[in-house]
Amino acid sequence: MAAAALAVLTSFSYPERHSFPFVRACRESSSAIREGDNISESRYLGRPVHRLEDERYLRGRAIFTDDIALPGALYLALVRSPYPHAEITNLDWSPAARVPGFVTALSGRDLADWLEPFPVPPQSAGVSPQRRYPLAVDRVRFVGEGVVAVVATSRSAAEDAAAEVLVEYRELPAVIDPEAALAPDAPRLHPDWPDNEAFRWDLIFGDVDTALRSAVAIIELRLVNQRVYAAFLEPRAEAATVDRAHGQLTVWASTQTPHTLRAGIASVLGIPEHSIRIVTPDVGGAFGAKGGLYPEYVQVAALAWRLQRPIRWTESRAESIRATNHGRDQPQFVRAAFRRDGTLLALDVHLLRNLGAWNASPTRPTAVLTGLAITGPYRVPNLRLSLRCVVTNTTPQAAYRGAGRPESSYLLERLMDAGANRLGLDPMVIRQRNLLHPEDFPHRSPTGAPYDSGNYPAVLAEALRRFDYAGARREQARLRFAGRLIGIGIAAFCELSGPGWESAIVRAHPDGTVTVLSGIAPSG
Amino acid sequence: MLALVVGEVLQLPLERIRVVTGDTAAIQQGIGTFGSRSTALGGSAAYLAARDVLEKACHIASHLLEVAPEDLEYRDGGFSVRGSPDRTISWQQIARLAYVIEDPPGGVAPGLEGTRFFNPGRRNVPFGVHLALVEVDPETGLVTILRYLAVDDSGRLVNPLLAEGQIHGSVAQGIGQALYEGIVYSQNGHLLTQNFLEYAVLRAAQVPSIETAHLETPSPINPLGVKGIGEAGTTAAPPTIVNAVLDALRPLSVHHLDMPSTPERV
Repeated sequence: MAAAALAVLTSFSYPERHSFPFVRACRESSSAIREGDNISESRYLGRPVHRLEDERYLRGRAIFTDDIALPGALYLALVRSPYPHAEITNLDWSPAARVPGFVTALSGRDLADWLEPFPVPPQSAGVSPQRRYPLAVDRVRFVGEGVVAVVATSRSAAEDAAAEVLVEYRELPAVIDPEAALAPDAPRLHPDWPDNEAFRWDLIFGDVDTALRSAVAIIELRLVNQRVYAAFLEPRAEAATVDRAHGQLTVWASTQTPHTLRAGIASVLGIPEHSIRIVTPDVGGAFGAKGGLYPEYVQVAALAWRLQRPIRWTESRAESIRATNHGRDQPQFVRAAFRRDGTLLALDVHLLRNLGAWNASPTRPTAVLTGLAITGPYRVPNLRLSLRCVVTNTTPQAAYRGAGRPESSYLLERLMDAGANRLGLDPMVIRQRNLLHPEDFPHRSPTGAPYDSGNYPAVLAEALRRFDYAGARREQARLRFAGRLIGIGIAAFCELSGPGWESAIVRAHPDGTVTVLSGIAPSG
Repeated sequence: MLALVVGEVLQLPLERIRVVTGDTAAIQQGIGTFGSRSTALGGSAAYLAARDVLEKACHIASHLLEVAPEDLEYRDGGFSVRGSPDRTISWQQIARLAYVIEDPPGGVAPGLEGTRFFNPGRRNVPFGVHLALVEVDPETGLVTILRYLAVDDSGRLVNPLLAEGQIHGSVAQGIGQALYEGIVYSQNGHLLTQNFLEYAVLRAAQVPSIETAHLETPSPINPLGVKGIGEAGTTAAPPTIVNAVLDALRPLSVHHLDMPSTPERV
């Protein structure tokens, strides 16, 4: 395997050293930096350069959150719900108090008396308002939801004490399937909502019904983009300490979004942002599932602040699979109209999104991106889109690498193959027929997404050439004749990447060395 | 990536550049790392901030060498006067003089730093075509990936080595979703996949050799011309693999398959 990987690396041809836009930008400026004109070759950009941090990672010298030394730290362990949906009828942690090392225990009700619910940022406009606290208050909504926070002087003491906490539940009917959750008589997760719908989006572009009537082929597909778990090597972890003299809370967290975490903790604890410092040590994988505001991350910060003592928490793998935000979980229904030559005339798409028990995205659900990207790299003259995001008694669902875009790509590419199959076309031909062309740019998709640039047919042609597509089809036919099940799969896709803004400071010091500070950070 | 971008602009060795991330006490407001945004947004912000720094350094140099800025050349950490290569001033000297607070050269404000917030106002759109060749074992339903090719256009590549790594990692995770992974609940809401025995994460030996190639259509909406690349494989690989498996099963008149396409399901 290692040899094969090496072969791939060495056979990869790096692009020619090219002059970067840097050069052009220099030309436009008015000063000496114009000498950029003479820089025909870049110093670094476009060249294969090993990361400076690789050695640290490869030699095991990385410092992860769990490695942060915090003398005298207490440990947090959680009592988690064994039920998907239940009322908490009684809590008794007195047996836990007998475990040596026990310090304290808090319920969701204890926390709700003192903390604000999770903030509802303006970016989440349109989502049904929810009051989420760091622990379940009176009612649990998914297996693994935190019920009691137990603090002790060691990890094992905290876990032993948590096992002694007595919680009585009255089970409620649960709903798991998002379609079932939309039924009028479905068990309701949030009693102050009229139903289980957290967010909806409907869009009409062009005239889908007329296109469907004029089509030679109508393809209907029901697909499921299943629920997955971002299996990072380093599980979620946080440590916090309070500098009593300065009233400063310092939090080490394995997170992708330190400033968002700071704002969230400040809001829930009701303390100013300048009193909180978030430090992100090395991160061992994140994949979207370490963004936003996690209940456990708020608990660690809140308990450190309340107890005025250092405290830490690193989840076990079993906790991680239950309580880390899951990804995807999107049943899809599509009806599409094609002409005989494979031209796509219309898309009629209905998307469901199983959000789990809470909308865990700090913004609108990631399924909105599926909607925005639903026409992908293709010309789609008519579109009807409906998206329903639904709460169910399952682990909250939020971003996982791709965060909405893989779902649209999966739908479109399954559809293209189904269309080609029905019309007797090669899968490559139906894509050539429908891809956007260079002259279509700049393009605005029917969903309103602007596309900046691209040469899609050139990429497709290059891929077919490198694959020797025609040769591969011939070989497939030969092997099929010999009884072997050989398949060729193709997918053309585009993404909507790089949301929002970002910052950087470049600071030259008196000795000429330079520090670069930025809100982005490596994830491993 | 940040060191490369700043090192390019300031023409300095990477050892002289330190990158600080993940500390809200040191870093002005930022957003973070997700959505294939780091290079397009953080890289662009660093590029623009470095350009500001270089502009100021140039102003100082032109004052000290008593020439107009357009008569200066900057290369490898030093300014020189065009046509008089012996009249030079080094980057270090400029940096030192930038912190002379009284009577600073050229009357510039003290210090040598730049802060930039970069907001393109919209997302960039990378594109790619992935192809796979698979074989299905008719006895067991096991899918073997014989070949995987990823051709991507993510705009300019800042570091082809890292671009390569992003494709490898994301394709591996995309194959994981296509063939192995899935969180399963029982009808009454109990989680049935609670550990790595029940939730099958792709193992190293199950990742095929991944061939890659890149075309580079620059993005016009950021100064580096770059686009996102970190999520290409999780976007492309699931349909690439499932389409290949369905293509393999076509002689058996199988037209539908759900993910994960495990041997049992196939």
